[in-house]
Amino acid sequence: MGATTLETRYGEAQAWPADLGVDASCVVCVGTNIPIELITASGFRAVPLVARPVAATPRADDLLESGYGAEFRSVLEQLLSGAADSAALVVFDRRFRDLYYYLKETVRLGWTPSLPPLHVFDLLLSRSVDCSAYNREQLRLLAAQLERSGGAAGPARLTGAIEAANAWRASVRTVLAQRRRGAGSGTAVFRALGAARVLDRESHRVQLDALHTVMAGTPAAASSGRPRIALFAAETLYHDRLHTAVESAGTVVVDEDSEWGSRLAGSDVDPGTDPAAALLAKYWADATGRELRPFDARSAFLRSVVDDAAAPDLVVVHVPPSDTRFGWDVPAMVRMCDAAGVPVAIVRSDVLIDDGHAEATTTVARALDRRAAG
Amino acid sequence: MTTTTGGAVGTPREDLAQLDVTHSLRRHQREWWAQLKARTGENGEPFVLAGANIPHEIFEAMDIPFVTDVWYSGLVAAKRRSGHYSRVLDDHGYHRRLDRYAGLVLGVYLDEDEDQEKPWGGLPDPALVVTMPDHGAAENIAARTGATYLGLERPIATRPVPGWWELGRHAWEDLEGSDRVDALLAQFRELVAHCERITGRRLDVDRLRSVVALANRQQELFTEVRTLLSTSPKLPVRLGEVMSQVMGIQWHRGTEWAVQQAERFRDEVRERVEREQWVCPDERYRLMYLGLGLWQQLEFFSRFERSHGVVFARSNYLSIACDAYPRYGDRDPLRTLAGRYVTFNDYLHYPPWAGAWAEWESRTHRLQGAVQLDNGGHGTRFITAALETAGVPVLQLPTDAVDSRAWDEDRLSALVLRFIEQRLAGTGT
Repeated sequence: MGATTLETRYGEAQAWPADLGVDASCVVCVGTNIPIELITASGFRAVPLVARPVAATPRADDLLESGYGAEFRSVLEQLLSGAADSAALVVFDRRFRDLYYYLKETVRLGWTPSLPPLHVFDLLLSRSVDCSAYNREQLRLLAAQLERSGGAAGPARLTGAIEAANAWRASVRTVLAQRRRGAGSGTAVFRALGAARVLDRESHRVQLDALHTVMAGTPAAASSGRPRIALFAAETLYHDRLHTAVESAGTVVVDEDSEWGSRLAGSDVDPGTDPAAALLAKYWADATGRELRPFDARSAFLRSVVDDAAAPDLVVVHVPPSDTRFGWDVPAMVRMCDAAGVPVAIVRSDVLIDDGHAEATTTVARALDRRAAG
Repeated sequence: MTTTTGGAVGTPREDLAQLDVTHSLRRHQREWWAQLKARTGENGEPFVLAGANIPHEIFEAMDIPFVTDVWYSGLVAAKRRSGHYSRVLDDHGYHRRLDRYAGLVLGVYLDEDEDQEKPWGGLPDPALVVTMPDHGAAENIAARTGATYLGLERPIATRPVPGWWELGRHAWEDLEGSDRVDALLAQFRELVAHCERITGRRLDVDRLRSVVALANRQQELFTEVRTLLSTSPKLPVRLGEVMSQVMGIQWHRGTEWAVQQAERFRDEVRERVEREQWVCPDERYRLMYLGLGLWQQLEFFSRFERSHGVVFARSNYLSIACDAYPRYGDRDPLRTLAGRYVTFNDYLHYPPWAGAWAEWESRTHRLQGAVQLDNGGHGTRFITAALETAGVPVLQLPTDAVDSRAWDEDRLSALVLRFIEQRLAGTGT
């Protein structure tokens, strides 16, 4: 069935050592703020390289300071371990620019001779200044790099790629709507969405449609009495450990502020008359992460969740011990939830280790007890 | 201090502890501060709180009172108040691993103490807060005080040139790429628009041109100081003094006073060299300090003179003033400033720029080793690799630049002493 197959594929996306199964027909994408449509229209398979929960990252640890969290270490470890070596190209988004810089240097120094060409898609995110000329140049540079790597994207192919991606997004949204209703396990749906890392989008769309059919016949969380939870985390949720910890407290996760969860689809690309402008508009508008300014832009998703008529029963904010930036937002996020009347639990443990996972479950359970006690 | 097996090797010149220009710097800072408080208090003029890597020349040209956030953080640290304001941040939900360097300023704003209890009477509420977006506390300051926040984004550099310091002064447009300069320039124009909105005044481009020229002149004087420090037989001025002087002037760049103070600084250093006045006559090892300024413990840099003849002869602060601040070409001074800042932070921290620069500086300054602040920052491993490959051993100093709670005197001194004895032995003069 759809959910089972997707969960299996999600398991592959979590496996270590990573096997991306890439070859010269693939472009490896590090970060989600990259116009996949342009890559597929150029005749390449776009393969996301996402962090995986892994115990040891010795190669990455040699290059990264203590301020970098587990996500960056895992991504770098994969790249240094040869996961992308057979690809035609590796593209980074702005969030991963440090890794781009570091890997460029390893290439320059001759430490990583087998890495393919590295490219950064530097989409500026300013909400107050018009950076569209620079961003448009970034799109042109990416197209030129893809062409140098053997691809070619004509207007018709780009329009086709956009339409296919929009169809996939529509399927993602239907599944998200069912989960928001509280149908089924939030963790299972999160895994199903995360299977996008190893499945091509058309296969993923078909599987998601099957999952949607199952979910549509599933009772909502409200009828099962399980509290509905929304997750906000310092790091990209590249694993399901926070989900499993939270749902172990008898809850159901209905949303997470993650490009591999509730924000996987984002908005559609309007193919219209200027596909390039439409691509840029979509990726600019859907950008996530700590660099986004101002706070209102970063917190727009939280605002939409807590102000929704079907607001969650509890917002869980995950601030692991490795965090060095997200914490600046947490007091303001708590105030926003307080103003909306939605209680908050702050989880500070490392959910990737068993003790931290258990501690997270306890933290959420206690918050729910406090909520029940009024 | 931890005792050493090395034994005393010489007598540092305690009479050279302080430059005479320190007095004129402090006097000016007090006068400037009093004026700033009067203008922003009684006169109600709008105040700008700015990050370090921001074109302060715009504020100077528009005669807007402003303070550099990290300067004030350094002041808090020097007053030994960083522990208190770090705890204030803790109490307001900002956990301990968040960067305190600029974050301390938020702690000052959040503190319920009366202003007179705060360093130099606290900061005025800003009308505008402007930083690069990697500065997490700034938005909270703006939200707390009702100010407008502007976060500027630097485009990523995709054509790294290791020898950037040789090209940047005049060929910055070619070095940085026009598209990147354009993108930052658009944001600087937005900054100007904000400044014009809060003051009701227009930016006079000719005035800005003059300010940029003064800033360039100041950096030229700093370059003369660097040459004196790097080429003189022994070190004439301690690093803490150099850092305090350079940054005390840098935050007022673009003014006549800053140029005059830089001249006085240059003259005094030159005089010491001419008179062969060395801070450590028995100098044996010359080290470089890498990373954010240890504003809470500047005297740390002179602690190993007596026991081991160790002096610290170079830091990023003077050298970045010489190599990354001066940018010439005054047709559009705002564009020139964009050319300065578009890769500024990368030069300091990221490969290949930072490591190549440190390695070059280690040669020109005749350094035997480096001590690098290890506070979880960026790019330090590559800087270390560049230096070690060049035969310059590097010690990682695990502490925080300003948070006194992270300072363990005995442990850090022991680390440095072990480094001197184990890795520098035999390399000195």
